[in-house]
Amino acid sequence: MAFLFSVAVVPAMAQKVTVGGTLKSKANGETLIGATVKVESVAGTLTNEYGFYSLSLPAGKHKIEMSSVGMQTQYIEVDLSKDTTINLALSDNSRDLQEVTITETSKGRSLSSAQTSVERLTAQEIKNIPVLFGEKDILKAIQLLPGIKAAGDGNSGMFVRGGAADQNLILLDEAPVYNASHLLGFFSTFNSDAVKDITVYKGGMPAQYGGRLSSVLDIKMNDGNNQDFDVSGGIGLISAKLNVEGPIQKDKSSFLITGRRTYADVFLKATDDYKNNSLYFYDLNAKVNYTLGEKDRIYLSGYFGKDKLKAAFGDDDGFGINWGNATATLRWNHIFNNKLFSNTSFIFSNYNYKISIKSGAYDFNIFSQIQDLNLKEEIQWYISDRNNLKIGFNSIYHTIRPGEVTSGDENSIGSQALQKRYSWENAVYATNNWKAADNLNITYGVRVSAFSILGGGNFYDVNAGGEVVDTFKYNSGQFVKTYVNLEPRLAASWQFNPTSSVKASFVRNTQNLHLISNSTSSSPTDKWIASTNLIKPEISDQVSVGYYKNLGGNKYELTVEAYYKTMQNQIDYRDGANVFSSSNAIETELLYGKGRSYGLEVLLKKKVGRLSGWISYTLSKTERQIDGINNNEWYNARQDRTHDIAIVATYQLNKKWTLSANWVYYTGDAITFPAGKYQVDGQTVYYYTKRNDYRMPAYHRLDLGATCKLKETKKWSHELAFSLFNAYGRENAYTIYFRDVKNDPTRTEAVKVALFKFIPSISYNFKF
Amino acid sequence: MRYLLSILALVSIVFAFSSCEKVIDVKLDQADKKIVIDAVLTDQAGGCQVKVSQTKNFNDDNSFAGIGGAVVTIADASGNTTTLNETSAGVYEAPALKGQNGATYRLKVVTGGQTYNATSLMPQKVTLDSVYTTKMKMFQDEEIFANVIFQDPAGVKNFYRFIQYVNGKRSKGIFVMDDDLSDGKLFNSTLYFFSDDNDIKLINPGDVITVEMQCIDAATYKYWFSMDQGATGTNRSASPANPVSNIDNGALGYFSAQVVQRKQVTAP
Repeated sequence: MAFLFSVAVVPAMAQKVTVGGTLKSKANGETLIGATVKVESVAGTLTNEYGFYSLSLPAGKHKIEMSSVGMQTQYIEVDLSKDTTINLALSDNSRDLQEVTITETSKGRSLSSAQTSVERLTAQEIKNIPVLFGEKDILKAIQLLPGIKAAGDGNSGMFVRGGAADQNLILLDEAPVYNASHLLGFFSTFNSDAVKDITVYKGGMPAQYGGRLSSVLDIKMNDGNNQDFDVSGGIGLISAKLNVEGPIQKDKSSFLITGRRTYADVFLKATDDYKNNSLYFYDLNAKVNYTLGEKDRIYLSGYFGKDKLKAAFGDDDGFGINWGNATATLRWNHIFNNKLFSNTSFIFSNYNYKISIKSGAYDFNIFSQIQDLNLKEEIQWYISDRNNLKIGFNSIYHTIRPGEVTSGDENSIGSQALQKRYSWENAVYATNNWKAADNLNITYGVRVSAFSILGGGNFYDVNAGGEVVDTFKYNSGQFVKTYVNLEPRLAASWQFNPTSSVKASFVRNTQNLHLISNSTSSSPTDKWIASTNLIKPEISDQVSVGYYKNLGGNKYELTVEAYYKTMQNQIDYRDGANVFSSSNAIETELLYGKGRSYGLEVLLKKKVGRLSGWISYTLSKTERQIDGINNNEWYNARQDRTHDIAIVATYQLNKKWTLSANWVYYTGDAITFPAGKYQVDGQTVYYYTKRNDYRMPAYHRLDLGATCKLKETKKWSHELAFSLFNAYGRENAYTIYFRDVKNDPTRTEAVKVALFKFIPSISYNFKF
Repeated sequence: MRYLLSILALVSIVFAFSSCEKVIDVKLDQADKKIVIDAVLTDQAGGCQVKVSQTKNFNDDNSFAGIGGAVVTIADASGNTTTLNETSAGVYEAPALKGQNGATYRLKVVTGGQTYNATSLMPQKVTLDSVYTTKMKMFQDEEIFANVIFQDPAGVKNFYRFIQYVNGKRSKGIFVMDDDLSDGKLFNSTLYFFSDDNDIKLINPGDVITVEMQCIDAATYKYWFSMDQGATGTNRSASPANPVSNIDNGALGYFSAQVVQRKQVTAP
């Protein structure tokens, strides 16, 4: 209750007044997130996720500095005698650039903030990083930062500090996205043209976030230009994109619509052999916002994306799979006064997939869905210059339809549905940023989460052998069980000189939605299940410490962090589990255990100059222990990687050309290889002993990129972007399998499959 | 998973990248030898055969590593016990022994001072009505597949396994089905066996296709299902593992009392 204490002592000191308001970009009216508002050597703060700031100052004359990356810094001289509102729009830097200047390309890490283990990237920063097929992808870009590991070619899954792919909370304008991949993981669902920025918490999550163990990826969409109409777009090797935004009423309201679609299937249709096949995805981001007055602002944003893939068998439709996410967020910002800010959100989120099989006598569909209705409220109270309190709650109603088969009567497959599962997830939290001393910041908070499993339907008791021994029937709306967890969140920073600080944090997270997968790559058909009477909430505890240093006159930024994390109630399939079972008792197919992960992460970033970029290195270990697997002994998790290196560089050659390159190297995934073989029923069968005791070959790859600005004026600009993925043609292993030698069935051999060798691409982008 | 591979193939065609395969050297450790029991009792005379062998190192040849001198017996529920004779190293047979539908059998193998037990239930017979072929165009190639028709009995769990021979040569792969989603339905199912060589089609016009249908119990189904998921070396299962065996004492392999029928068809 330290903050109450400091509130009490305020009146004893010089009279304080509060300056508050909102910062925006002059060019397009977008609110500025994380912009700095400060009075040199007196006080300073950052704008929140809606551009709002509140700064407590002694009464009197001040020169307030307001700055943000890529914006011209502004100074305002004021003589304060009472609480004051200052709303300001900052001018864009880049538009006035007549020559190549040394500008900051990314936002500096705050040395003073207690937040540890956080990474932030803006759409601007990732613009030049070369990518597969030239599809700018913010989710792929963050995987070049330490502690965030790509799952490999052809896989959009990512592993944060040893966590599984489902342990990342992916939020798009606060709405959870359950499957962030397109086309079996080659691309992510986030169209970078619609994204403002992404913040990744690898540890020390603030108390307002909860529900996943490993990370929070908080992605904010652009609000839409409320000054001028903007049309931008691009045509790439595989997709075309268009972005339209503009004011509805100047200064007051704006809209944004961004669409993207792949078009390769158009060529498929034109061929005789493939005309019945289809393969495409599209997504649509839309947002409107309306300023109701000085104190209120409303945002409505939505995302809709779909993948449609179909491999035809003859004239039959064959095998098809469609999946997609839909989210909608309605938010209301209300500024009570210069110290009190509120945000209320209603969120809808949906993910579903449908498999259709039509071949010979088979004609049926399998459908599965997870849907959320979500209400959030947060109050930010800037109590004093030393205390900044956030309190809030979150209530989510989940409906899961695990699997439904529909088919005609003439079919070998009968229609049936697994029980729908309902659950109600609630959380309340409070967190305070306390400036304990000028160079000491402490954030302390707690989140209390309660996950209630609701009927109707049957719930089960399952014995150690995986057999149902008892069935409990619940009526609709009846509470089956409620799991309550207390999640402490603690962080502290000590800035011991102007350019260095140390920080430490502890965080507990819980997770009640689990993605069950039995394949090496994430698949749209991986199953989301909620905790049940038998499936306990996953719990993680993480301690992290870090050292942060600005070097070379703030040109370079060095970050060194170490973490140790334990995970309880981890879930895995039993050997030979049937994923598409008609049984409602999924628990019969599951085993439970624990995990641990620890590591060291180093990031050296060059933020300014013609050459910018970073070097990231991670040394880590991730293990699991599950009763019933690997003789109950600890084993390497698949995502365990000893070394992981990424080098990202962008060089501005001249006004016209920007060159870029990135190189990644990591230890191969842990994998199970046979310890021997034997013959059964005339076939070679492989004999396995230890789980994940071997390694895939090390993965490394160089990508090159170049962007040529064809023309840039205030009115319009266009450019050509070239990229070469896997420039030196490294055949990285996608999978390794074992088989009898074709011409000599008396022997066996190992075969490596690689997906990509040199993928060149070109895309054209325009804006007017 | 097989279906998803067809999508992956489509992705690679559309985006014009070719996945490439290369035989590589993998340094594999050697493990202690394990006993392998491959035991079948059928509803027909001459179908009873138990093979006892042990695992080999990955780089050894694939020849059968039979273990001779084992004592192998099969007993029914009333205690009638038949001892199998060793006909060649590691191969034990009882030509006259056949199983009854609905009866449970116990296999006992004693070798190297260890005893291994397993039981299996011989299911009721489900008649294989017919076998026919269909042609199907998959991407640019036209493939011939065998299809089976049979009536699944309602109200009882049934498990089936199919083996396909083309001109007497066994097709590679495991094909098992259950009636989990299809209880009491008329099965009309395509047997998706694929050639392991892209240049050679598995079935060509004029080929004689023999389909063997086996009615198996739940444990045997689990064995083949889990082998298909985790131990054939070819799939992309997250965690390859030994098939779930119904034999105790840590032996690999299975014991199945099964009903066997065959039908033939010539590809047009």
